[in-house]
Amino acid sequence: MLQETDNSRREFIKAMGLGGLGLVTLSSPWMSVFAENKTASKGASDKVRIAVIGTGSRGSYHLSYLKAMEETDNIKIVALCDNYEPHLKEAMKYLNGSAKGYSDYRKVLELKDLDCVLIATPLHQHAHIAVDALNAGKHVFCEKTMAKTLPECKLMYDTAKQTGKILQIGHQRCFKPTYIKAIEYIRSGKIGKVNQIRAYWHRNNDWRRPLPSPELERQINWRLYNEYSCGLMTELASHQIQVANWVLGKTPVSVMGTGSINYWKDGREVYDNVALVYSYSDGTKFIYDSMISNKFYGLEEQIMGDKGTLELETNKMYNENPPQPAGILQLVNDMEKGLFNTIPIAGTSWVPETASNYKGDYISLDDKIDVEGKLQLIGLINSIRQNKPIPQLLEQGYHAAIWTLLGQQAIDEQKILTLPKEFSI
Amino acid sequence: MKSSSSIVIQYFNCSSMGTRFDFLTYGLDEGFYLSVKTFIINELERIEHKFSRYDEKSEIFRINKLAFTEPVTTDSETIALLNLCKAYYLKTNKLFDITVGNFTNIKDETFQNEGGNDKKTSSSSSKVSDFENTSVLGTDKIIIDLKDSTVRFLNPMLSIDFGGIGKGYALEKIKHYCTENRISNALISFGDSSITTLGSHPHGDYWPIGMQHAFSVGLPLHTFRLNDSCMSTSGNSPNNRLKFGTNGHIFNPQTGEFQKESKTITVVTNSPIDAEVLSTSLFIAGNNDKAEILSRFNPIESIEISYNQINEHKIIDLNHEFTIIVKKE
Repeated sequence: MLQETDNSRREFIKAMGLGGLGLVTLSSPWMSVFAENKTASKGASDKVRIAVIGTGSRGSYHLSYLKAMEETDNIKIVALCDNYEPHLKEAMKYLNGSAKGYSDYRKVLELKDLDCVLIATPLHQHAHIAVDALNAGKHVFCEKTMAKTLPECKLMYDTAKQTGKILQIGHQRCFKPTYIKAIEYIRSGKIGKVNQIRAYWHRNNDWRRPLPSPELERQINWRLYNEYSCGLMTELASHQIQVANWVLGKTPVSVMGTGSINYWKDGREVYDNVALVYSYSDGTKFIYDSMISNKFYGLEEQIMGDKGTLELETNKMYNENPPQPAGILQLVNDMEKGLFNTIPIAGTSWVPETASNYKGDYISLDDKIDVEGKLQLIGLINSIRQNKPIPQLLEQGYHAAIWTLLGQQAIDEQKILTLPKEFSI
Repeated sequence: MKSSSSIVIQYFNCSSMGTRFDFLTYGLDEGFYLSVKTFIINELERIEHKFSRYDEKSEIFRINKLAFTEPVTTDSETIALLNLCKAYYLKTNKLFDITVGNFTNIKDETFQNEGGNDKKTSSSSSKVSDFENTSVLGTDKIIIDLKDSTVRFLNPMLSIDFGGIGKGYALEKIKHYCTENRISNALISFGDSSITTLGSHPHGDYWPIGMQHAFSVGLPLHTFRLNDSCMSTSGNSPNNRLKFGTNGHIFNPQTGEFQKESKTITVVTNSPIDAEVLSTSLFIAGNNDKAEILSRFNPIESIEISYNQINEHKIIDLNHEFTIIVKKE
């Protein structure tokens, strides 16, 4: 059963169509956490003990992986914590009572037999729980966005560095084969110079959850209120800002934006639509919008280079000038020259190396294998066992958070904003 | 596309069903050729969207979602294709089975909205352990009522996957269209593994299609002479390994295992659908089954190429009592 960890890792590497991790780690350094080809032992000394703080929808998502990993990766979920009792009860039932339940995260941090906490609480609680956990000697996995304010993000980052504990932010696209392969294509020059990135995330729902009673409005629908959330920016945009930074290998120099509530006028405080432009040092732009009153276009990140285009969510790549496939090209050439030669084109299957100018080709043939949710957790566990943070991963989360929050501020203040010096790392 | 000779060569390619589609012909009126291209592209898109089990708006997705809980009314094209698959299931000693797709894909559980990928389809749970008992599978467990034009499943594990026949079906449609519109000469290829021809190469009496060595580049191992005939190749190769790993990608519903052998099967028939079904079935069939299945399909040609190592291969003529044609060491 423990073999499954290696199988997942191998499956992931196969899915990326790679012979090994060497090249990948140049463009995605955090992938080196999988370089050690060592299956965890079943021994107690290797067991990683984890608690989940925040067992609502996102916490449950992680729990489903963690529960399976108890069988395969020598981890143990020792505690669950949520200050909303129905969520806590449901999570404890899911684990058949094998973990202890808490309503106060501070009690969880007092546990001696605890290595790591996974924080999936509302945004405004990320910082103080993470900082307390790091100071209590625990490693931390914190859901994105890192925190609600710039100072909080910096405090989390500094505390992780000072304590030497691992702090990982939940940007799972860092572990998605299609994205990693796309970055390799970009770094190898396959689409030329990236001149613009465009991304969007469109949904059509009010984002509300059912309320057992009206008094729970702000607790359950925290995403709609400025006290707890920055709405579309921190809940959605931060994923795509992280991707844009990763693609370009740098962070923006400025941001401008606008937002409003033009449809869901139901007492919410956060915008129901935003539009921003991030500028990078060489003039490249990242253009972004998000809305929740139309879902036709869904979500996408469009990476536009002078030689080609990548659409990451739909796993497509398009050459600006697609070459013809070699076998058919030879056949056409022969026909043109009056030659009648056998053309060796028949085979088992064709792997897309060339792009069509009609519908594009796939970046990764295994996009449908959804491994990133699990792999980010396997990476976390590996890094805890290796006792070292995953290279560059925290920085991805930090920069994504900072520029997400600056984007929000730019909208609120209607100004073009740059990075305040005190938040440079 | 102009040539130095008097022949006007016309070619386009596009992506369809996860691979590259090529259409090559010559000598057509340019306006007519453009209409042919438009028809083909639209037809490929129509078939893919209708029969893709991943597309939430497809007919197959709908049937897969509902057919265990209630009979699902569907259209005549879908019914006809399902009936064809049931016939092939029997004709191949149950080796061609459109219900194994879900077994061979391991998917995540339903995505959460927050931070998840909104464009993914939420699919039913398909962990391998659910299918340890492969007796739940089988095209015979799809029940079709011709009178009511409905489809239902006998158990909730079933799901239709046209992946093993979709390309052949599309090629059949395109071949029919070309024939109806009097296109005499064309080479139509899906990913180089399913090739249908009409007529011949402009400078010969057939289309000379060479079979590549699966593991190295070089002279073709065998030449197929195609004239109004279709070929299909199934097997394991580095291309498959890139995508599927060393486990292979063709599943044997009788054994519950993926076929891992380093070999390919190529068949030539008059029907693209026959070719695709036959090559896949022969790849996973034992010798006894092979002989029976071949006697039912009567392909024009059927060749097995097996590889022991990169420099060693054996070519076997399956049509002639498994005669070894070439054994190269």
